[in-house]
Amino acid sequence: MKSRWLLNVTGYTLAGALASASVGAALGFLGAALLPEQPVAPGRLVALGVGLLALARTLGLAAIPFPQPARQTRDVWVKGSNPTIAAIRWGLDIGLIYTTRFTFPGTWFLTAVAVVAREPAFGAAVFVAYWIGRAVSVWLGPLLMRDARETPQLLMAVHHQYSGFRRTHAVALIMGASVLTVSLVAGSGL
Amino acid sequence: MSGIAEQVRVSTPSTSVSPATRVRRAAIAVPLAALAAGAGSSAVDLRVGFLASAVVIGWTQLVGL
Repeated sequence: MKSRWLLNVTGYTLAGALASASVGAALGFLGAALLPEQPVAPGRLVALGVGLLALARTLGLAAIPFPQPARQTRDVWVKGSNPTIAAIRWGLDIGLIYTTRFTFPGTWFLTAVAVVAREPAFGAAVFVAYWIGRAVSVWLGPLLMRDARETPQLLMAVHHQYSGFRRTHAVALIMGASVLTVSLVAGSGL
Repeated sequence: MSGIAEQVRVSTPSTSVSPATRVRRAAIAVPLAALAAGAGSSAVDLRVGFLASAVVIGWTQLVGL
């Protein structure tokens, strides 16, 4: 049973990483195709602005209407099909970033940075990092609950931690924006 | 996430710690580890620091789904 779980979660993680890397690389290509090579500072200032708006929204300081996909991935994919195939489909689906719901607007900050960086490899790295953050909760599943019967309690416990996750999201945005600011001030690449 | 979570059948040691407590601990430990690694690495490479913040931004999307 453990090997089956490991196979499913590995399939989910790798499929999501592949999808997220593709999205990030595409954003980098988009930036390289649309934005001028020099100067890069205005682009980074725009990305920084997106980050600060996302921070304001996260902290409830401003009701900025960031786009928010409403769709959730399909739980029914596991019914009547191989669980490993279902896990891979979930990974590909959620790994596409914008096709399923996400809670906080920091995703748009990462999007802006991936575009203005104008480097497909860096864009891919940004979204693989984002995906790692999303997938780690699945790997922690066995540590967070004794067995599958605790799933509803686990989801409820996560829901009750909303404020904590919101504050953590704000801290991550501050850190990302700080790194971007340092790169701007230092005139170095990000 | 719930779809994958429902597949979990891995037996873990019996413990009296509730799921809420375990989630609370993970909610602190995961971002702390990533941000600490990122803050340390930023002095060497800004990109690594930024990638660490991206990991935490992804982690926090867990809630509310």
